[in-house]
Amino acid sequence: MATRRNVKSSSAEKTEDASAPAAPAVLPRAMQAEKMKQNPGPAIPSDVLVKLFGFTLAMLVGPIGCYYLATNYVFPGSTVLGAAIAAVVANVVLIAFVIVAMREDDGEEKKKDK
Amino acid sequence: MSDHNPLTPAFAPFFGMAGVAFAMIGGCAGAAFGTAKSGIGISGIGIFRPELIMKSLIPVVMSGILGVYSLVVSVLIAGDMGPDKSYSLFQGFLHLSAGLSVGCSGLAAGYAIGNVGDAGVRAYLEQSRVYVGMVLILIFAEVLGLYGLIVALILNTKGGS
Repeated sequence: MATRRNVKSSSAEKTEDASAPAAPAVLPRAMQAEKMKQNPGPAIPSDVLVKLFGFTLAMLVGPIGCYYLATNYVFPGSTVLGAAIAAVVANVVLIAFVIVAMREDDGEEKKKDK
Repeated sequence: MSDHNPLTPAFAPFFGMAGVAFAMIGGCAGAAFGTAKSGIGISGIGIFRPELIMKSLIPVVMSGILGVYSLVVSVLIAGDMGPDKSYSLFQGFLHLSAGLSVGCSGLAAGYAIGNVGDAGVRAYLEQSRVYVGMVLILIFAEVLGLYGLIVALILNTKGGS
């Protein structure tokens, strides 16, 4: 038994040696978990998400919705006016985005100054 | 349709539909180029300074507006067409011209926005004063697409219907 144990231990060492190269396959998961704990990756703040979805919705729905609203209810019959309103709404969304981006950057600079 | 009026031939709607297609194809190709090219630059600088991403997204929004322009013109043109409406050859060429003007100007504006957005965002990484200039250049590039939209809207009023 003792000799067998020795043999087994040596074989176990061998298997450990064999499993050593295989260990990195397991390690990255642990490292990834540690990394996620240390640096929780894209921890997106809620205000950024609100901005993102707000502008996406405004860009998707705003102009074309205003077009149909204008042509069907506000100025029925005049499609060109509705199209002009849609273009204006698209540019209003752009200007709002520029203003929001500028204000966000100013706030971060102020935070850095503090 | 059945009356053989030389002013409203059966092939007239072909030109109007071609106008719709040209508007969407050109405008969206320009918007896609602008989004992709400036997106490459934004993801390039986002590695180094992630806080600049929000400000650098302006070319992407402008490219989206180009898509909205062509969408509006396409909806406008398509609204004038119908299987039971009389559709003159003049209206067909008018719609073709409107679609081509907004499509090709959208393509040009998207190309300009893409290149300016890429280079401007990369320059903004190192020099923050570039930002105002970049936004101005982007606005002038985007106004080119707006000119196409204006011409398309003016042309569309001549259709009468």
